[in-house]
Amino acid sequence: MLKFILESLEEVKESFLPTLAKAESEEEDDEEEEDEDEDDDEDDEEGAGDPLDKLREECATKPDIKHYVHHYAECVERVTKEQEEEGYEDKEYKEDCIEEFFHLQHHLNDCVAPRLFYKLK
Amino acid sequence: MTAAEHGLHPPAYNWSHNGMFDTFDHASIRRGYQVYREVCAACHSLDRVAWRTLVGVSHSNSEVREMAEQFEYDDEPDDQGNPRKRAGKLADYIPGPYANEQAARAANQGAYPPDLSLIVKARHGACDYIFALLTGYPDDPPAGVSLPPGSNYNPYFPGGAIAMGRVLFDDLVEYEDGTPATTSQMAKDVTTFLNWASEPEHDERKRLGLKAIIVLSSLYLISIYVKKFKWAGIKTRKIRFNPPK
Repeated sequence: MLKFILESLEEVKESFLPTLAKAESEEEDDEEEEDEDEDDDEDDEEGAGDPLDKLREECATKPDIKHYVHHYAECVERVTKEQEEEGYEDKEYKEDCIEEFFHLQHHLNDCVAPRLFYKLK
Repeated sequence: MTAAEHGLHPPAYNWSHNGMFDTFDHASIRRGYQVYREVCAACHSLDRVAWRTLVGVSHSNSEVREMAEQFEYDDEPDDQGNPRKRAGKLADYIPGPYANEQAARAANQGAYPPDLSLIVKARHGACDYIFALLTGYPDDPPAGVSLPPGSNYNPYFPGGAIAMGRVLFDDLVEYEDGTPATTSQMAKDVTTFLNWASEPEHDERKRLGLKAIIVLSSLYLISIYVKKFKWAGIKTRKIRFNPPK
């Protein structure tokens, strides 16, 4: 009886272990092939250069992010102008553009982050 | 606290080891070690990682032996009691760039480069934070920001003023597998390597988790079957009263 149970267990194990392993290895192969293809495409289209910088530039021109670029540029302009004025050192409140910068970076990141790792190995 | 004091939140990147059943990209760990060795190791130690742990993970046994032999370690004193040195071996831990914290601070204008062995676990945002920090140095700090002397601006670092400058630049290292060494590629590799350093059990943990799920769920189903089987007779029995005639 015990022998029979052990045998049947062994059969069950064999029946799905190899198929699992096969499926995994096939998937891996597919992924590798895809990766290689992608790399080739990149080399042809883009050549050298950091994909991160390219994505950032690309994203900065998108209509919903343009708005933040504009705000940040405006702030930089305003603050630099203020810094050039007399008595800036003694001012009680000095504005900085961290908030605008954070908003811009946050939205840039939302655009860049999901796409970046497909371009890296 | 202001947003600047909290630091900018890193975005979620799709790491190849994110999923429940996904393991580390070991080619990336190997490249990441190269980046650590050629770039980070100039200031940061990796105290808790022994050479032997790299074997079978990113390098072969003989490669790691060779790497360890390039460093000198204290040996037992000779018969006259004079201290001796010996070449490193697999059982040794990876040596840091400085003898102690004071030496590290003295060499870095008072800033102490943290040990990187557990850095991924030690920071909010883990991998995402490390990657964002390494690639997030802007060309110029936002207008109106005043930084203390000797510090650099990085939005992801709480407070924004970080003593470490931008270190990763395109083509800083030359990968042996021919991968283009862009800033983001190096940052990704070194972050994967550091993630492995903090969680060397990662791959095995996920494998065991999968095993546990399979075994426990099948045992659970068997127990349901056995219960139903054992109770079948009891649940379906009929109690009949035969009144005495």
